[in-house]
Amino acid sequence: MKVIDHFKELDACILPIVTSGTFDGVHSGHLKILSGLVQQAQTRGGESVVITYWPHPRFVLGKGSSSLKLLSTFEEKVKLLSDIGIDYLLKVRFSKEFSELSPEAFVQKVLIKGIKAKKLIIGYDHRFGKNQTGDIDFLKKNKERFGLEIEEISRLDIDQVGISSTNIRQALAAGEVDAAQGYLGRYYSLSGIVTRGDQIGRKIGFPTANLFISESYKLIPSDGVYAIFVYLGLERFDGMLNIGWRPTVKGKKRTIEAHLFDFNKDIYGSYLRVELVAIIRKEIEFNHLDGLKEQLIKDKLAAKIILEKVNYSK
Amino acid sequence: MIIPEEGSLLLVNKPKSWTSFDVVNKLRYLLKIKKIGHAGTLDPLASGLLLIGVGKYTKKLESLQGLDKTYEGIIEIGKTTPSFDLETPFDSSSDYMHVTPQQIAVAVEALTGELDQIPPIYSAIKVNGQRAYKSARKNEIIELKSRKIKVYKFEITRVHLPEIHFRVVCSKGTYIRSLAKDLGEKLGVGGYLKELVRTQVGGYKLENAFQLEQLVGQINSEK
Repeated sequence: MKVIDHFKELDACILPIVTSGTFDGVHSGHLKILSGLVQQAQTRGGESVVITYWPHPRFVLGKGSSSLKLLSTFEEKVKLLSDIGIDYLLKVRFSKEFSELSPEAFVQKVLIKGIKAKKLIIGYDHRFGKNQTGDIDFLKKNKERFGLEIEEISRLDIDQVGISSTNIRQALAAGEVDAAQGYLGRYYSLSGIVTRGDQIGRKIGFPTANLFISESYKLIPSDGVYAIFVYLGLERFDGMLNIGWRPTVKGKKRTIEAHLFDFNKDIYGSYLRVELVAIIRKEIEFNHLDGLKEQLIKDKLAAKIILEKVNYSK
Repeated sequence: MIIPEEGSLLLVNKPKSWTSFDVVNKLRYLLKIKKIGHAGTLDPLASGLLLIGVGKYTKKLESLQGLDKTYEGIIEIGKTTPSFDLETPFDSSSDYMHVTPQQIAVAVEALTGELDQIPPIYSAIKVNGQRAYKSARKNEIIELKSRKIKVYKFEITRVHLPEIHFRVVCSKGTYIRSLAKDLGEKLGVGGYLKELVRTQVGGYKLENAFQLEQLVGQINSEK
């Protein structure tokens, strides 16, 4: 997949088939639209083009924007779309100015003049253009004039899946990573660089890798202890993750710390990706480190059972 | 509640300690309708989705009985009961501390796929024209034949030993109580089903079901 930000890179396209959206999380509902797009492009000898908007429109247009967290960073989205087999990802810089385009202007400028699209595939409830006034009816009514084939993904097809990025964000905010996994069709994951922490964990036999995530807009699930798979280079390890304020040691900031089972290497500065498989418990405060240690031993057993089961059935 | 000519399907969340028949009876009384039935019994101690056919829809219930089911619940290892759930008191307990994660994974995996399952003696199944549980209560020795069932998914969602939280997707006729007991046996420490919720039947989901009180309230308010 090529990530592009200029229309001219699409000049060589023969038959661009297009869809548009933010596709946050690239979940099973999105997959329905996207895999259909790829399939059609392949059978007709055309190119699959996804238009996506960056930053997320809600960051630009306000409306409680500051608190909105996203399921995927741009980098993660690129990887996910690429895995589906999309040919081009057109990254449109979303600005106040862009949001002022009327539906007519959006179709003319972006789809017709810009991409020279032959076909547009969109969900029945997709809205576009100034104040979200453009919709499927507008497109269907004018398709001859635009010279565009329009395919609507029906309500039935979308609602049957019953998935929205909002559902997933809510599940994660409650720590329900297994529900999120059901919607996403994969484990929710976090990626970052290992930084040096307070080194308290190693004193009680649970050394941890502190994960620094540079994208402040990435959604971090609720505080608690999770069973995780850890990807370090080409290797995968079982482990557990603590997200939270570490009340027992009077922590000053929220941290994300991974403890890898049967692992004893210095990995500061390494890039880690963790997949959240299940929540073990919420964060609790102990009077003493010994209480915490005792609990961590139980947590580790719980995490091992859950992960062992997943490993075993794969 | 107006029942259309062709009858209707009601999704109801059966409360714990009600029998499936209690729920049907309650609605039969409230709706003043003779033709009413459910598609697949839920044990009294389980809660969750019950599909109820009203009026002419009762004829279609049979086709719904074959649907796959999804359950969530808790198995406690290290203790057993004759009914494999909490309907009867504990009859054994053993130490489970030596059970390893690997053993649990292997046992759960062995209980996934196509299985020959022996139904619990404390079940509604008839043997020699008698309900099996009646014979069981009389201490009669009866033999139950194993049945072919399918466990499509058996996931461990949470562990707090001795409790193992799980989600199972299975074919009709699967006794989750028996799965719990079999898991305990495979681990060598015994086990029973502590809690059970049916969350899905075919494409029908518990989240779309009426709470019984809510349904009762609605029917009463329309009178």
